[in-house]
This record gives sequence, C-alpha cells and structure tokens, in this order.
Amino acid sequence: MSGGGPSGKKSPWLRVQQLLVLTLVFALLWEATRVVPQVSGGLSSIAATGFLLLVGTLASELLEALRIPHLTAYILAGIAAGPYVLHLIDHATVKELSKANSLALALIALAGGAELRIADLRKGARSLAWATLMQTLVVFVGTGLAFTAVTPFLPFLQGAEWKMSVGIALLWGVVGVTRSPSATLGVLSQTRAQGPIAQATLATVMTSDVVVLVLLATTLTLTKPLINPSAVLTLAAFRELGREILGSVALGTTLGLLLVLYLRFVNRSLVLVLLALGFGFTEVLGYLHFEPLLTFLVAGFVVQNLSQQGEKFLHGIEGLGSMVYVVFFAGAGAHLELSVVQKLWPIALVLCVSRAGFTFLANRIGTRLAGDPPLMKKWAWSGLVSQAGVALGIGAVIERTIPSIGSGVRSLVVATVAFNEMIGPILFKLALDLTGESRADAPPDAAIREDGVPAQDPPGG
Amino acid sequence: MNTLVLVMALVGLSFLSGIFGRGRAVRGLGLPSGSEWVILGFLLGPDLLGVIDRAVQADIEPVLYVAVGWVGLVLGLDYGVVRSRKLRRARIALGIVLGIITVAAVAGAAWMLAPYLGVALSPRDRLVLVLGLGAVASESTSNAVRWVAERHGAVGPLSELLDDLAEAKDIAPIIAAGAAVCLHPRFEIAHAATIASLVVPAAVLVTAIVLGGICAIMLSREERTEQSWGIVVGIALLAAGTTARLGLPVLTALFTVGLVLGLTSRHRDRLLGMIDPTKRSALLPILLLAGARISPAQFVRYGLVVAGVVLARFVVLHVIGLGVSRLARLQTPDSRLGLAMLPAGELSMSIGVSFALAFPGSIGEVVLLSAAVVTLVGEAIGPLALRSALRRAGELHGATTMSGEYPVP
Repeated sequence: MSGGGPSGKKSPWLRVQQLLVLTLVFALLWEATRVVPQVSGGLSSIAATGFLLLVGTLASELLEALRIPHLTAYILAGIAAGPYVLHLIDHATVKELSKANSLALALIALAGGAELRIADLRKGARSLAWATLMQTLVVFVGTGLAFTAVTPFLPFLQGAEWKMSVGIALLWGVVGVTRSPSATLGVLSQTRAQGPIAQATLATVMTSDVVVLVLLATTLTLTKPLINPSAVLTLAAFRELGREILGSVALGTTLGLLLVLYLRFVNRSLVLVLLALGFGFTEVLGYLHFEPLLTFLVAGFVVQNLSQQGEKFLHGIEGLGSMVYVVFFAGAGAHLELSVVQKLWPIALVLCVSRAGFTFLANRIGTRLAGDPPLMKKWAWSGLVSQAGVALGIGAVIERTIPSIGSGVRSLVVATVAFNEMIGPILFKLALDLTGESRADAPPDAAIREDGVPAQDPPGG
Repeated sequence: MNTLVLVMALVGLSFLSGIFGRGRAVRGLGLPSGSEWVILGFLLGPDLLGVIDRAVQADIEPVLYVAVGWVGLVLGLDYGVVRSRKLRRARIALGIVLGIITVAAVAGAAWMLAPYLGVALSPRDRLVLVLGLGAVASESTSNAVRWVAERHGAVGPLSELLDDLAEAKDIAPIIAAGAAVCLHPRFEIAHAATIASLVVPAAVLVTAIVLGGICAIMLSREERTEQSWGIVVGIALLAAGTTARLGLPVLTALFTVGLVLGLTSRHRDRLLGMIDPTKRSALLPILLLAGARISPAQFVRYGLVVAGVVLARFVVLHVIGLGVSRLARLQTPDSRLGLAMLPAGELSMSIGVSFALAFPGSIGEVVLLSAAVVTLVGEAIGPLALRSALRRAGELHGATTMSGEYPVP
C-alpha cells in the first residue's frame, strides 16, 4: 500500500498537476491500444502493470482529499481502465495480471501474521474468542436466511427443490462469513492505525480465515447430499482438511524460523526472497495441497513473536508491498465483471446490506459478552464488511462442485463482493479516522530509521 | 524447463550475485562484461543442454523487454555522470563524436559484408542490419575501467579520460539502435515514406520525453522511498510496455526517459542511489537469455559477417586509441590503447537482445551473435590491454587484495 506518510501539503496546483498527469497517462495507453489493438504474449501486461501502478497511485492521491482509502481508489482506477469501461486493459491482460496475485496474497498474509503480536492477542483473547464465535455464528445463520428470503428472485434457483435451496443458502452463509485480509491490511497500511479497533479487526479477520476453511469443508460435506441426492455423506473431506491445516501450520512455522535466521545472519536482498516466496513457494504449496494464506500467516507470526526481526521484516514487506498492492487491487477492479453486477445489483445490494446488518448485530452481542469498551461496541464491526478474494474463491469452489447452478451462485458472489469491496474499506477507514486510531501523518521512514533498519532496500540490491 | 522455474532460477542468481558481488562498484566476483552469463546461457540453450528451450524463451520475452528497458532507464539517468562526477561538456561531445565514428565505420563495413549473409535483404532491412551491427560494435564499457581502477588502483588522467569517453559514447549506439527499430514499427502509417520515417522516431521521442517529464513531476514532491519506487517502476513498465506494443525501440525510449528525468529532476542523485544497484540484476536475464538464443549453427552461417564486424571494430578503435593517446598527452602515442577500449557488455548485449526481440530471424540473430562475440572478444583482450596501457602511462598503483583497502580515484 502506498504508505501513509505525508509527502508535504497538497496544494490545489499539485492536484491540477496530478489530474493532468492522470489524463496524459490514460491518453497514452488509449492511443497505444487504438494504434495496435492486439498483441501476443505478455506484452500488454507490461504496459498494463505500469499503467495501473501509476493511475492507482495518482487516483489515490487525488481521492485522498475526499478521505477515500487508497485501495478503493486503486479499485476504481482498475474499473475505469478495465474491459467493461474504457477497455484499455482487455480480458486476456487481466488474466495475465492475476499471476501476480500469488505474490500479493503472500505478502498480505506474511504482513498479517507479522502484525499479530502475542502480547496484544493475550490482552484481547476474550474479545477475539467472542468476536470470532459471534461473527461466525450470527453472520452464517443470518446471511443464509437472507439468501433464503431472496431465493424466489434468483433465476438460477427457479424450480429448484427446497433441499437444494437450503444447501445453497448454507453455502451462502459460508460466503457471508468470509472477510478480506487484503483490504484490512491495505487500510491499516495506509492509515498506520494503532489501537483496539485496528488490532481487534486484524485478529478477527485473520482468525476468520482459518474458521472459513473449516466451515467451508463442513458445509460442503453436509450440503452435498442436499444438492445432489445421489451423493453420500462422507467425512473424507475432514481428513484432507486436517492434513491441510496441520501441514500449513507446520510448514509456516518452519518457514518463519528460516526467515528469522535469514534476517538475523544474511539480511540482504529481502525483496528477492519475498519474490521467490510469493511466486515459487506458493507453487510448491499448491503442489502439496497446503493453504498458502495460512502458511504465510503462520510464518509472519513466527517472525514477529519468536524473534527480534519483526519490525525489520514488516518494513521489508512494506517496501515491495507498496507496489504490488496497487497492481493487485487495481487488477481486482479491472477484473470486476460489471455486466454481472449490472444484472444482479438489486439482489446483491439486499444481500450486502443484510450481511452488514448481521455483522453489526454479531458485534453488539460479541462485545457485550466480552465486556468490551463502548468504542469497540460502536466500531469493531466496520472492518469486517470488506470481502474480496476468499469469497470469490469460495464462489469458484461452489461453481466447480455444483455445475448445474454453480455459475449463477458465482455471479451473485461476484456482484456482492463488488459492493463489499467498495464500501468495506471506506467504512473501515472512516471508523479508524473517527476513533483517532489513524496515524497517517506519522513519518514512516523516520520511525523505521530509529529502529536501525535501512530506509531503502532496492529490488535486487 | 518450466518458465516459473527459470524465473525462480534468475531470481536465485540475482540473489547470489547480490550476495557475492557486494562491496565495490564493479563488485566482487565476476567479469566486468558479464560474459560468463552469456556462455552459461549458450550452454543451457536449446541446441546444447536444452535446459532453456524455445518455448520458455518465448514465454519469458516480456521479462527481457522489461530488463532491457530498465537497463536503458538506468543508463539514461546515469548519463553524463561518472562515479558522482559530472562529465565536462567537451568530454561528452568528444565521446559522442567517437561513438558516431565507431557506429558509422562498423556500419559501413557491415554494408559491404551484408551480401555474404546468405539472405536476400531489402534496402531498408539492410539499413536496419548495418545500424544494428554498428550499434552493438561501438560500446566501450566504462565497467572495465572501473574494474581495473578498483582492483589495481588505477588513478590518473588517462584512466579518467577513458572512463569519461566510455560513458559519453553510449548515446551514439543507443540512437543508432533506436533508429533501426523505428524503421520497422508494428503499425501502418498512412503517409508518404519520407514523412513516416520522421513520424515514428518523433513519436518515440515525444512519448519518452512526456513520460520522463511525468516521472519528474510525480517525484518532485515525493520524499517517500516506497512511493518513489512505485512511480519509477510504473513509468518504466508503462514506457517499456507501450513501446514494445508498438514495435518501437524499448532501450532508446527508456534511455530518453532516464535522460529527461536526470536532467529535470532535483532528485537525480537520490534516484541514482536507489536504482543504480539494480542494473546488474536486470542485466543477468539479458545476458543469460541472450546466450540461450545463440545456436552453434549461427557461427557457421553468420561467421564471416560477424568476423568482419569484429575486425572493423578493432581497426576503428585502434585509430581512436591513437587519437586518445595524443589527447591524454602521453609521452609516446600508444598504438595499443585502442585495444583497451575493446571491453563491451551491458549496452552491446542489451542492443543485441532488443534486435533479437524486434527482428526474429536473420537480422536479429546476426546482431545478437555479433553482440555476444564483441563482448567475449572484448573480455578476452580488453582488461589486459587496459591494464598494460595504464601501467605504461604510470597510472597503475599496484594491485589491491579483494578485501583490502585501495585508493579510490
């Protein structure tokens, strides 16, 4: 994320300059795509990556005046340039760009793990436990019920048996429980927020990631016989899930310890190490059927809590992440299927509002049971609205598992995620600003230098 | 080999070269030209060990475009500065003139040799070919001078002059290569040929100047390191991607972006400090994959033309060497000084790879092969000749150990 440090007061003239530059950059790619509409190979993705990096950065600077989070600006820039609006980036290029997602997700998970400190978790263990339980239970049941309520309006479920509708509603409940670690990290990185809301949100989001894995496997196992009458209930999925979770934790711990040794004794070219982890190690994890997000999360957690290298590590991730996240979120914007959103927006909106409502309700119950301060009762739900990759991933799993109606469900997931992806970060940033947890004005580089960490780690250097 | 495995291997090699090559300007282990990577690539190529096959080479082309562009950007930003010392205008002018003379002389020889290529070329293709050959044969890398200076403690007017001229010469081959690629854009121009021949280079120039200006504006108020990286990388990728998409010269365009940025940005030194160390990492894939693109059969097919190019380079540098020895006011003109200007590498190989990407076929192959041969011959002869020339000029102050202290000029 484009770190939250200030780069001087922004005068109106600077804004005009930025707007002019943004227009020029758009005009350049517009002309290039007009003159040579089709190119083979990955050529178009080079320009697209640079373009998204620049327009994302410029858009975030411009929209900062409206207090819009940087990542929302990146997404908007991606939508504008993507195949559904200006068509500066076509579908094939968007697909090419998604190859960088593994790197972005690895960085997000590593940073997420490294942001979790045992001391803070111990202090907030009771709150975290209640929040996780309530956010899972209430949102799962609530969004499932909301889905059942809108079922008559869903064309792909017309004429479906009640059993199937119940099965899909349960799966929708799982989709509702998913959060967005990337959006959370994105907003936290920009605002450099510190305080109970920031800490609780991060912990809940990261924990819910593991919970969703278990919940998805359970729900898929239980709903298969409901959706497909010929299917039999089997617990084999749990064995696989257990192996996946334990393996990921074990491998993540090993990786974390190796990173600690590396940071302690080598401490050079961390960017290259992160690149190798993001692209190469993610492939290895895929081959082993381990969960990359969990593995990297554990690795980051180990580095932060079992060594003195945490801050150095976080700074290293931030250096590369500031660029990768712009492309990742702008690419996500370009990837948004606006045609689907256009078709399903009324139902998606209803589902989004109801999910936000149930998230709010779960927060009220959870914070009351945990005895949290009023600030938490009022705002701790705000960071749990965002949804992104995990929800889309579950949509894809449903599509693959239930081919007959899966594509319809996936489209609805896409439309819902589109709303939550846009509204969620704005809401979270608003909460952090209003509660005074944002520290966007703190000079980041200076703080790091005080810790003795070099301010520059050039890629490859 | 899988493309991902190759990318990981390149990341690993960059990492190792970063670890083992630290401490000096032309750091630690390795040859000044990076020839060892070209040879390794040649051995791993499809015609020998077959580790880097043609499918992987095609997959990885975008990486090459980016790497070539990045090298161009760093060269542009760095142009006119030698180890934090700004070059005098007279030196720059002299370097440019010498560069033009070398390009023209080698291109002239190549024009005569073109019929021996065994391929029927249109006049335009022949012009492209000779400009390419002239460009790859006109580099004298300042890395070699810095290498000798650092490892053998060379200090004095001759080493400084050679360093300055090597730096200033770069612009001529970059322009020649750019002009050649501009002769074959990837789009049609609905104008007369004479207008078209001006429109394309002008478009490259204007685009690069605009992007360099944009970069300078965006960086003007930006003090944050991470944001600065984002802007520079964004501009570099946009420029490289756009010019590659249009079939225009990536290296020349990015060099211009870097040059404009260097001339207009008050953050030039900070930017150089940031991105200069990354040049070696960008060069690695260029050298390795360039080697992999060369097949043993090409030596037979294009041997005569390549030998002619190398010979022409010898002759023209010999003449230039005589002139330079007069200019350096050596007591006796050193007829072997030209040999000291033979080392080449980063620019020649980058141009060679640019041609291989822009002109798949004979033109690209012969230009890339020539670049590799020029680099290898330069590596074999250049540093030794340079060392003995500096010794004769009394500028060598004894060898330094790898880890020991040495006088830094």
